[in-house]
Amino acid sequence: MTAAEGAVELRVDGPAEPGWLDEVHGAFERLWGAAPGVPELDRMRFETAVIEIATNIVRHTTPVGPGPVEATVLLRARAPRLEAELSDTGAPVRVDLDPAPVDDLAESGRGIALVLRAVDSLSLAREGGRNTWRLARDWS
Amino acid sequence: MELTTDQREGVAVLHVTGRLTMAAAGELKAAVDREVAAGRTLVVVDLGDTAFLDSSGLGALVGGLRSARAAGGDLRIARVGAQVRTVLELTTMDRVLRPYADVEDAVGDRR
Repeated sequence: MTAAEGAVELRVDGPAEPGWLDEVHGAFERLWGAAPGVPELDRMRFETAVIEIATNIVRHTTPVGPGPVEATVLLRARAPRLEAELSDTGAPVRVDLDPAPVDDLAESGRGIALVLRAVDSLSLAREGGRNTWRLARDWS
Repeated sequence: MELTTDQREGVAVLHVTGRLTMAAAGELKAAVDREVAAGRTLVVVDLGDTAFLDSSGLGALVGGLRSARAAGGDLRIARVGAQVRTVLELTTMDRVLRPYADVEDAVGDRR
């Protein structure tokens, strides 16, 4: 679990289904247990952002061939930075990372804006046949 | 998520225990719609035991608000914790779903 001096890393693999989201929540509990120095505000914002992206993968990614989309999340806490990489084997996704604001009474469309406000950086790329998201937030 | 409902004259109080995320959003929205259809058009969602909210769960609350308003009522949230408040603030939806300190404040507000 410990990757380098002072760093904590956790990885969760699984089919991109709701059960994987439960495992990602569980991984955060372990991450915060192993990295007690991360302030609560930073924990909440980072976990909120990562769960949004993981949920986006479960909801919107479609398989390329037979079998389910496989997804992976890698979480890392290395002072003073929290980082996450989420990738999946699904068909290429295109997501607007500069979304227009939605109406107050819209029932969807807030996820990416929420992520952008909760972390310092967010990117999406196609790498090695996988949709690959990276998020980072520095704690103070 | 576990959902329990207290029903009063014209009022339903829904207690959400656990995570209000994608997996639970549909169930919450259906429960609000059921209460509104039965004439309990003031719906208070007690989030005191809600560990985690995401944009899907927020969408269900907004959907419930729409249903309640369409029937002449309202949907109010109460007892939000730190993570729920974070999501409301980062989405600026605390303007629309203003958190009440407790359930009775939410039920009694005559606005």
